[in-house]
Formats: sequence, structure tokens, C-alpha cells
Amino acid sequence: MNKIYKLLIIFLVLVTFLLEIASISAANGNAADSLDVTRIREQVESLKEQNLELSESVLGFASYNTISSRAAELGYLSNREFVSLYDPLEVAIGR
Amino acid sequence: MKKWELARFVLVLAFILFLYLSLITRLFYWQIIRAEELKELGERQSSEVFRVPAVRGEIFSSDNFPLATNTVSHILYSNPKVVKDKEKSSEILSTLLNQDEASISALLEKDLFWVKIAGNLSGQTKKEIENLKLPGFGFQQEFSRFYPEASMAAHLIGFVGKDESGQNHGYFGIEGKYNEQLEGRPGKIFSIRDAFGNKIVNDLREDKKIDGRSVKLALDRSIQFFTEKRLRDGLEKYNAEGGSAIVMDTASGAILAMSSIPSFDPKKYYRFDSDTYINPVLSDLYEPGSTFKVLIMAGAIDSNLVKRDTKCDVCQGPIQMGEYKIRTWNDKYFTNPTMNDVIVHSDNTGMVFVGRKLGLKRMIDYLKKFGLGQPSGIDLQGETTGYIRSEKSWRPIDLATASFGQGISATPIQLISAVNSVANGGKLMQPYVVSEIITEDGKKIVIKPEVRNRTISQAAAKMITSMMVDAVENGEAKWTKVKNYKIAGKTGTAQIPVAGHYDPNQTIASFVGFFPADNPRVTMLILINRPKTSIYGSETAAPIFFNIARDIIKYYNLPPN
Repeated sequence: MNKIYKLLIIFLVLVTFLLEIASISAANGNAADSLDVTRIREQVESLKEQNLELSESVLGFASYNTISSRAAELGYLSNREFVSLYDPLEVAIGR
Repeated sequence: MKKWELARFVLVLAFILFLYLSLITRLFYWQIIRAEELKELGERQSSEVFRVPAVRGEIFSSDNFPLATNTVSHILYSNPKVVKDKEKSSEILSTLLNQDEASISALLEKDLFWVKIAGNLSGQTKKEIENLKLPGFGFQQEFSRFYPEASMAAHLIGFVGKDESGQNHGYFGIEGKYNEQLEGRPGKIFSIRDAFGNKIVNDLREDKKIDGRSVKLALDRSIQFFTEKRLRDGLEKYNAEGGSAIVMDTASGAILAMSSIPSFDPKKYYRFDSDTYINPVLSDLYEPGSTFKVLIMAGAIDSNLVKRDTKCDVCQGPIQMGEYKIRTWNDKYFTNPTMNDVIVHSDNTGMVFVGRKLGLKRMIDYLKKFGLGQPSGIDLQGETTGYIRSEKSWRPIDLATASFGQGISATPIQLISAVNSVANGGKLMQPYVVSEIITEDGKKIVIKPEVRNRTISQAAAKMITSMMVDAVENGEAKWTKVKNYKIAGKTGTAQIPVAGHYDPNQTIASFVGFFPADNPRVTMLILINRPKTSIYGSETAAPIFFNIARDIIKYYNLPPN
């Protein structure tokens, strides 16, 4: 009986020790993974920010006010009149 | 045992007991009495709470272009208790941030765990500071509002400022009216750091943020653009103090364009006078003048009191009412003009005739049916309404002047809504700006048009429309009309009351109308405040109206009629 008890105690100590090692390994692995996760999160955040900055540029270029100013700079004129086929046609259309 | 040996034993025992008691007392003091404080200190040293800002909802035009959206910027903060070399850090940061070194240094001397060093930093600046790896500094993301079309529809959109607690809050327009839906709810991330300062993911607890809802407007960006341009050009040409233009979808009451000048830049609202934030379309009461004749005439026709060819037998000269004399705008008079002539020539005496036929009680009833004296219900912040006086307080002269739009007030949104009811066969539509609300998970809530009440019969609407078409074809504004298109409209030239009397040289010139007259698509109102080159609506507001009408006709590709 004494021998059985001794073996049992040794076994429990061994198991405890192994579980402790496993726990430390798992925690260590977690910490290491969390570094990767943090890095990935930061990359995602950075990409989102870049996306927003790009959107801002694109929207600025696509705004009617920008297009209108740019068109004026390039010499485009606004179309003042439209020609109606219901009116008597002029012989020559003056500009 | 000898006495002195016993004494020595007791002494040592007492001393040891004393040590133990001291230890226990001290432990009790730190672990029980000051436990919370130490726990908090420990948590602060090893844990962090990050506030995750909610993304404010966007405001889209009808073509899904964002009129108000968000850009990201950064706050640089510091934990002064962790900063090692404050002097060196201040020196380095002052160069990068272009800030005074002494002010940064003063911030780092504060006995706080969190101090804001600088805000509104770009991504580039953030990277440069991050690369320096200065201990005790961190970044917090924040969002600021961005308006790609700058001041387009500024009064309608509003702006985002700060409330008393320094948080973002929308004011005026859509930003104000829909602030609760747009702002969302910020979240928090609780994290614990290891000995090297890295976040331990497993210990992360997150109160999830809820991003704001977005709204889509009925506003047509193209129509808004050329409406603003034509209005601006017109105000410059006629040397006016200001003006407004509203374009409404006839069938639904949706606002396709709304512009007022002077305006402001929503991004830099603080650089403008706060008076400019107020939307005159909703908040400015004015005497509508001759544009009002359409409503009074419509009421009289609807009540079968007059018809298109009913003759006025009091219009051959000015009408004397006690000490007052009612004249036409040009002092020209006609013998027995028809109701059609009264509208075409904008005859005040003819309208007095109509007003008398209608009577005070019926007039007030029709004004209420047309929505005057009550809110239009438009979904924008800042609407005022004015009121209609009770019958008892009206004198005969008040009835007479009200019949041609003086001595009575309305806001531009009330007037265009009322005329719009004539355009769509007598249905008074509730004007609205937002056509859709988009929830944070992408679900769309469609806002449907609403009929408030019926103003006049379809037959009456048809008759008054034909008179308004005649007014455009043969009235004072015919020189500027659009050829080959039937447009129903009415000019208005309202004198402005100044110090108890009307100033003949200061007017609000206006033009209201809708087209195509047979099947109206669009109702429009132009208001010009104190034009200098000419005081008349036919010479200022009307040309602007028809210029915008030409643009809309081309834009919608409307066939001639």
C-alpha cells in the first residue's frame, strides 16, 4: 500500500509539473501570437487610414467644383443656348 | 530557569511578536485599506483603455456622391509619468509638430496619466513620430468631417462643431436635424500589456462601437450645382444683397436643390459670421408680394367665386380705402379686365376685387390649407413659421393688401410648397430632403413622400395653371422666357417694410413657377433680396429662374411642348 501511495504522489507531482509546463507554453504561445495579431491589426488600421486618405483625394478630384474650375482653366466654355428644331432655321449660326 | 533567562526569553518573544504584528498591520494597511488605490495604479501601469471613436454617418446626394464624409487624423498623447527624457522629447517634438518647445515641455510636466500633446495630425506626421520610438507617447485616431463639394448646399447640410463636453455635434441642416442618427456610439477596448509593453490579446475586452447611420438626400448634385452658379451670377449681375433658390420635385415634394447666398464653408464654419448659418429658406419671413396672387386667385376659383373670364368692375383706377389708395405697380389701369388679365398684368386692384369676393374667413381658410402659419414639416433644423392673425384683428385694408401679398408673411419653403400644390393638381406635399436612411449594417429605410392635405380641386389647379402660363407668355417677364416650352409662373416685387412704412426702392424680387406646365416635373422659387440694378422681379428673379429652367430642361432632356 505504501508503495502505491508513493507512486500515486509521484504521479500527481509529475502531472502537475507537466501541466504547469504546458500552461507556461500555452501562455507563451499566446503572447507570441498576440504580437502577430497586434501587428496585423495595426496593418489593417494603417490600410484603412490610407484608404480614407485616398478617398479624400479622389472625392476632391471628383467634385463638381473642382471639375468646373479645371474645365475653366482648360478653356471649356458653358453651353449657353440650345438649338430648337421648332424654330425657323437660321442661314448661318453666329458664335 | 533563572529569572533573567525567563525575562530574556519573554523579551525576545515579545520583540518577535511585535515584528510580526507590525508586519501584519502594514500588510493590512496596504492590502486592505489602500487596496483599491494600488489596484488602480497597477492597472494603469499595465493596462490601457482605448476609446474607439464611432465613424460619423455620411450624407449622400441622390447620385450617391458623399456631400459630407470623414477623414482620419490623429491625436498625439503622452503619459508624462513614463516619459524618460522630457527635455529631449520636447525638443524633438517641437520641430516635428511646429510647436513651441516650452508649451510641450509644460504639458509633459503635468501630474497626469494622459495628456494631449497635439491633434489633427496627418498619417505622415504620425509615422515620423512613431519612428522615433519615444517612450511614453501614443496615438489616438480621430475622425474629422470633410465636405468634398466645399460650400455646396451648405445651409442644407449644416456643419459639425463641438458641444459643451468637446464632443462632435452637428448643427443646422441635416447635420443638426439627424445628429443622433449620424453620430453613432463610441466603443472602448480594455487591454493589458506585458512587461515589454505589448498588448496581451486574450485580456482584451471590447465595448463595441456603433458607427453612425448615413443618409441619402433627394438633392440632385447637378441641379444644385447649376442652380448655385446661376444664382451667384444673377446676384452679382443685379447687385443684390443676397438671394435664395429652391427647386422641388413637383410630384413628391422632394428638394432637388436649395441654395442661399451669402453662404459659408461647413469645414471652416468658425471663420464665418454665425448669422450666415441660418437657412433663409426656412427661417426668413418675408412679404411674398405678387407671387401670392396665385394662391388667392386659386382659392377664389376653387370656391367658384370667379372664373378665368370673370370681369373686374373696380379696376379702372386706384381703389380708395379710407386713408389708403391701392394702385397697380405701374399705375396703369384697364377697364373690366378679366381674372386672366389680372394675373398677366399683376393687377393689385384686380386682386382687391378677388379678395373681397373671397372674404376674410374663406381667405384665412385657404391660407391655412396652403400651409401658411404652420411648419412645413421639412426635415431640416431651424424652421420658423410666422402666424396668421385671428379674424378679429383684420381690417378691410389688411384683407385688400393680403390679396396681393403685402401685409402677410411666409417663408420661402411655405410659398414654394403652396405653389407646388397648384402644380400637382391641388395636393399639398410635405417637403423633404432625406430620401433614405442607411443603417450601420447597410439596411435602407426609404422615406416616402407624404400628402399633407388637399388645397384646391384639380379643375381649379388647371385653370390657375393656364393663367400662370399666360402670365409667362404675355406678362412682364416674357422677354426672358424659354422658347417652345410652356412654363407656368408669376413674378413678385414686394416692397420691404422699413421703420413702419414701405421703402419703394428696397424690394424682394421673386419668381415662382413650374414646368412643363401640362405635366409639371419641377417647381422652382427664386428670391432676390434688394437688387440694385432693378427692383422688379420680372427683370431680376425671372431671368435667373428661366436660366435655371433651361439648364434643367437640358439635364432632364424634356421635350418641347
